[in-house]
Formats: sequence, structure tokens, C-alpha cells
Amino acid sequence: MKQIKSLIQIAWLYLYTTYKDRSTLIWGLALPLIFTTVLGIGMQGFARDDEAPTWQIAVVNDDAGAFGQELIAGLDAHPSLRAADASREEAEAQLEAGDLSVMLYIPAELSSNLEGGLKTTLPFYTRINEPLSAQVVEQAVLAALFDLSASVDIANTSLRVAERMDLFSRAGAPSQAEYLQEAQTAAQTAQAAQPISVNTRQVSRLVEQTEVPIGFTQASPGNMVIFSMFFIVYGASSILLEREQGTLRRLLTTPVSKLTILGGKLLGVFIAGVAQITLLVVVGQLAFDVPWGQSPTALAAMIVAFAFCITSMGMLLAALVRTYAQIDAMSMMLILPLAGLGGAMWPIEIVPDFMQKIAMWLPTGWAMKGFKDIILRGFGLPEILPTAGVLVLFGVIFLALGVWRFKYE
Amino acid sequence: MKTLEIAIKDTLTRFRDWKALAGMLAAPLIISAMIGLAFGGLSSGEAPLQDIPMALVDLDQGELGQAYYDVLTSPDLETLIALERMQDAEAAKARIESGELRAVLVIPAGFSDNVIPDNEGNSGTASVELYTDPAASVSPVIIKSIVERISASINTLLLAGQVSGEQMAQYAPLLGQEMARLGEAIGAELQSSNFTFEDPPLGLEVVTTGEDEEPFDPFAFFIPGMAVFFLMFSMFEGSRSILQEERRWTLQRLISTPTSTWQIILGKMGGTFLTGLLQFAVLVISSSVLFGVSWGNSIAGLLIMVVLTVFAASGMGAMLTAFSRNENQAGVVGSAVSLVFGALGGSFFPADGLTGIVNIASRLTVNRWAMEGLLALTVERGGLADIQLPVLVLAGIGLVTFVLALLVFQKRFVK
Repeated sequence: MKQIKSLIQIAWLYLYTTYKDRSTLIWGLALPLIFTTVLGIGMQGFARDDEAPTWQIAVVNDDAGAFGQELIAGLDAHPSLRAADASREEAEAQLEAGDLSVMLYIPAELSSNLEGGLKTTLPFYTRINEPLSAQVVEQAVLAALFDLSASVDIANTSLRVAERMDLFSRAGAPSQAEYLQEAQTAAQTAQAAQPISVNTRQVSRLVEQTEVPIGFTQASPGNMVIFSMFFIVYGASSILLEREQGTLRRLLTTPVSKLTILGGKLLGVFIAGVAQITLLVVVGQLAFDVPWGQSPTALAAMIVAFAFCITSMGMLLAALVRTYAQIDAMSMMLILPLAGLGGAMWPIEIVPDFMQKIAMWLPTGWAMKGFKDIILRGFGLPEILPTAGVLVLFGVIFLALGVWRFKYE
Repeated sequence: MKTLEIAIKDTLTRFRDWKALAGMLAAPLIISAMIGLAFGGLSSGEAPLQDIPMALVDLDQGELGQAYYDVLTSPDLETLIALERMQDAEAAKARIESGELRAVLVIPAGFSDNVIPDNEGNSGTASVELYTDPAASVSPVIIKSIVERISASINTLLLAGQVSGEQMAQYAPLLGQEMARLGEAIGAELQSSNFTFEDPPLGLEVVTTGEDEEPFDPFAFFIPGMAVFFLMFSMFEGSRSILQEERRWTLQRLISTPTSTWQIILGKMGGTFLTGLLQFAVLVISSSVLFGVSWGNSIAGLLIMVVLTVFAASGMGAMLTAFSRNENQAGVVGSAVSLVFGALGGSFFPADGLTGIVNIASRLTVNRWAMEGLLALTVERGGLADIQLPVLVLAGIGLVTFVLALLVFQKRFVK
């Protein structure tokens, strides 16, 4: 009983000194907010829009007929594309300067070729340094081309069927041109009712899918993970400071057991960590509309598991270095790579496969997975428990090693 | 002379300290290596997205379900999509949730029967269901385009048959008995080469431009970024040692010697500056040896940029330290300013996309100007003429902050 009382007192003392210190405000609130804002805006470079990611394409239209314009309209209607008319010189200069990553050239003979049933190849210019845009836009343009040629294809098929049936040699039959004209009208009418449609939807349990700017669904959990690591690791390693200043030795002379002292300290760090993460979650929800609050229980499980894991990591670090001053260098070397490899600095989707596998060996990789599962997939408590469990497991291992290796004097 | 002695002694002390070295040299190199690994694929000219994991759940078991499978596994899409067949739609969707799959295409039961006309020529409509991963932003867009294109090609085929039949029916009186041959004629036409997915009437010829440019080298961006980022840290750390000496009374002891106060302070600040210079030089050399980073074609330009960047960074460090109440406060302010400068100033991502107030804030950082000048040399292969503005701004920042720091320190220690 007495030990528990001491444990709580030590934890309380830690919290009191932490929140009395003004630097807590800077590390705990001001810096993460600045980072989330700046990186959230910067990250939209991947997306360039506030909603779904979109890509710009310049179209140089030399076509004399109607199909060129129709193609541009078709491209612009694609939800991920923004097509703009451009002169050839303009587009080439922009491509050269790197202001534009893709350009489509519509040759003069597009309409006449299509009508005559001839194949046409459209030059599609991409930049070697922007292969990702090229890949996405190429598939979208191919789909638009298919739509464009569909009605011509249908009409021409009908014409060739009529030829196979020898229709035009018979008395009273229409001319080929007349027949084709009719066929084109019929094709356009028929296309209004497509036999097959594609229903696309995201696999998400979110009740309502909010349009969160894509940069913030990365930056909000990412910076939360990075800064709570700094905050908690520094907190846990402050026990080294107590050792150096002699306050730890003084505590050891009291009847309080070693484990109680360590436990009280870590409990304080853990509580401050939970408060810190919660604060950043609330700010992410309120300031950046990141949907954190779909399942409060799942979120609570992740926050507690992550705070525990990182508190233990801080304990382990405190056990492995000799002086408090070393923590500065070590935490930079440890936290930033952990954050990068775990996917807290940029979306894990865009790194090579083996790097994605590495992330799954790190607590940061699991933390990012869990937090993103909550905001993007709308996971509830049952779905999030395995991820939270992995974090707890990391935590238990770190804690056991840390307590075992820690030198009190 | 005394000033130089103090500066050199301080520099040597810093370089004998392994943990200082870890922060100054190892951290930027490790982080750059990691970033290089993460984004290295972008520089090789290879398609960045490959083997997008996707499952096909074909409950139709008919002709059209097979058509989707055939196209998705065709040679054109082989490297882009890693397709597997699954039996259970719910199990497949669960694998999107677990992050194993980016997309699942479900062809419902009776799909082919619904849309392929029966003997009377009657047909209905049906839809395929495409489920995508909300945690991915790029690959679902690609998959969606492909599935829509396959669906469009089947639609065209079906509609071509339908329109041909309907149109010919109008001329049934002219054809008489031969109308019986119509079904066969349509079938033969649709089988002809005009309807292959691989060879549509409109195709693309992909022309890759910019090959004469240097391919994007992630190291050419991130090494200078990290070098400047960690330089800020060590410049603050270095300046902070003045306050450390104040706390330990070694500074006061020094001041009591015949050496004048401003000489001592200048020596201390000079030591930080020399440390930064050495740190940056080592980073330049080791990054070109380890990662093959090219620091540009202008040695004079690089030299000027490095000296002025270190000058501005050490000045900034000295000034903020001079205004700090004590060592602790200087530490907090230093780390905070280094981090904020890094984020705003483009050490982590190119800052030229920033707009508005964030851009103005970015322009106030040492990092932004240092990066602008260094990237003009490394990425754009520019020369002296391309770095004039950054050089002027950095020199200005350095001069103002250095003088301010000197005055404030002087006032602080001469009592």
C-alpha cells in the first residue's frame, strides 16, 4: 500500500515539474502544430488538390473534326485529371521547364481516321523524372480514348455487318454513307445505356467519408508519432538527469523500493504521453478535420498502447546510454530514422516493397498502421486490437530489457 | 591571435566528442541514406508502381468474367498488376483492410448471362464491383482506369452487336430468307481483329522527355537538406557551450585573464563557425564518396555557399543563445528553431511549392536560402551567377546576427 502511494507521488511529481516547465508547451504543442501545418500543405504536392489527388495534362489539339474536342472534354471529366487546351509551343516549353509532367498531342487526322476506321496513334509526352504522374495519366488517357472510339467502332461494325450480308447491292437499299450515318446515330443512342457499369467504392467502415485533404491524413498521425516520441523519450530519460544530479540516490535512501521509484517515474511519463497524444489528436480533428473520432474506444486503445511502447523505449534508451547529454544525440539518431522507416514522414505506399516490409518490424510502422486504420478505414476496437497488441508486445520487451539493464548509481 | 587559439581549441573539443560527432555527421548521413533508399526507385527511370496487389473474385464463371481475368493478366499489365484469383468476396475485402491488397474486383454471379443477349436478342445490364484501399492514394486511380477500360471494351462489343442487329432488322424485307444468317454474320464480325483489347483504334505512343537532363537524384536534394538541418543543431549546440562555461565559471575565469572579453567571445563564436565549416566539409566529401552525390560543377560557388551558410547558421545560433536566459532555455529554443527552420525551410521537401504566409515564413529561415543556393548548384548544375541572391541574403543574416550576438554577449559578461 505504502509502495503504491509512493509510486503515485513520484508520478505526480513528474507531471507537476513537466507541466510547470514552459518548454513542455513548445515541444508538446507548438512544434507539432507547426510541423503538421507545414508538412500537411507540403504533402499535398503528392496530390495538388484539397480532395482526391489530381494530375494536370496539357492537350495540344490539331484535330480539324469534332473528336479532338470531345476527347479533351472526356479527359477533363475524369475525376483525377485536369485537362487544359494548350498550344504546342506553350506545352513544350512547360514540359521542358518541368512545370508540366504530361502532354498529349492530338494529330490533325484523328477525326478523319476514326470515321474512316483507320488506326491512329497519339503521341503522349512524359517526363523521365516524373514517372508516377506518367503512369497514372497514361491509364486514364487510354480509358478516355476507348470511350471516344467506341461509338465509331459500333457504327463501323454495323456497316461491316451490312456489307457481309450484301445489303448494299440490293434494290431499295440505302447507300453506304446513308447507312453509316444512321449507324452513328444509333450507336450514340445505344451508348446512353451501357450494359456494364463499374461501381467503385473504398473498403472503409467510416460512417461518413469526409473529404480530408490528403496531406493531413498523413501529416496529422505522422507528426503526432514523431513528436510524441521526442516528448516521451526525453521524459523517460530524464531519470538519467536525476541520477546525475543525485536526487535519485537520495530517493534510494528512503524505504521506497527501486522498482517503485522507476515505476512511478515511468507512470508519470506514460500519463503525460497519453495527454500529449490526445491533445494532438484533438487538434488534428478540430483544426484539420482529420476524422479521429469515429471509434473512441479503438483510438483510446491505440493511444494507450503507443504511449506505453514509447515510454518503454525511452526506459530502454535510458538504460543503454551513460549520460543524459548522450540522449540528445541518440534520440535524434533513433527517432528520426524510426519515424522515416515507419512511414511517419511520408506515405509508406510510395516506398519500395522491402522498405514497406522493414516498417513492419518497427513500433513506428505499427503505430502508423493503427492510427491510419482508424482515420482512413474506420476500424473499431475489435479490428484495432491486434495492432495495439503488437505495440504492447514491443513495449513489454523494451521495458523488460530497460529495467534489467538500468543502473541506479 | 588569442581569438584564433580559442576557436581552434573549441573546434577540436567538439570533434573529439563522439556524441557530438553522431549528431553532426552520422545522423545526417544515416537519414539521407534512408531517404535515398525510400525514393531511389524514382531516379532509375523505372515505373515507380509495380506489382500492385489485386484480387479478382469471379462469381460469374462465365465468358465475361474470364475476359476480365485475361486482360488483367495480359503482357501489357503483367508488371503493373499482381493479380490473384479468390473465391470469397468478403475474404478478399478483409485483405484490403489488412493492407495486403490494394483493390478487389468482384464479378457477380450471372454477370455474363445478364448482359450477353439471349437467342431473342434480349439483354439486360449488370455491374462489376471494384473495391479499393482508402489508405492508398495512387494505385486505386490506376486500377480504376484499367477496369473501366476493360468494361468499356466489352460494352463496345455488346453494343456493336446490338446496334448491328437492330439496324439490319429494319432492312429485313430486303434480305428475306437471308436474315437467318444475321446472327452468324454479327458473330463473325465481332470475332474479327477490330475488337482486340490490346490493339484498339486509338493508341498511345509514349514519348519520354527530359532524358538529356540529369535524372532526379534524391540524394542531390536530401543530402544538402539534411546537412543544413543538422548544421543548425550543431550551431546552436556550439553557441550553447558559451553558457555552459558561464555556468561552470570557466568563462569568468577566462575573462579575468588579460585576454579581452570581446576576443574571448569572438573566439568562442569563431569556434562554432569553424566546427560548422568542418562538419559541412566532411558531409560534402563523405556524401560524394558514400552516395556518389555530385555537388555541382562550380567549386567556387559551393565554397561560397558553404561558408555563408555556416556563417548565417552560426550567427543565428549565437544570437538566439545570447538572448537566452540560461543554458536550458537556449537548448529548448535551439532545438525548436532548428526543427521549425528545417520544416519551413525545405530541408524535408522542396519549399518552392509553398504559398502565402507559410512561404513568407519560409523565406525568413536560414535553411530556405541555403537550400536555394545549394540546389541551384547540385540539382540545377548552376554556377556563381545563379546563387547571387541566396549569397547576399545569407551574408546579410550572418552579419546582422553575428554583430548582435557579439554586442549582447559583451554586455552580458562585462560586469
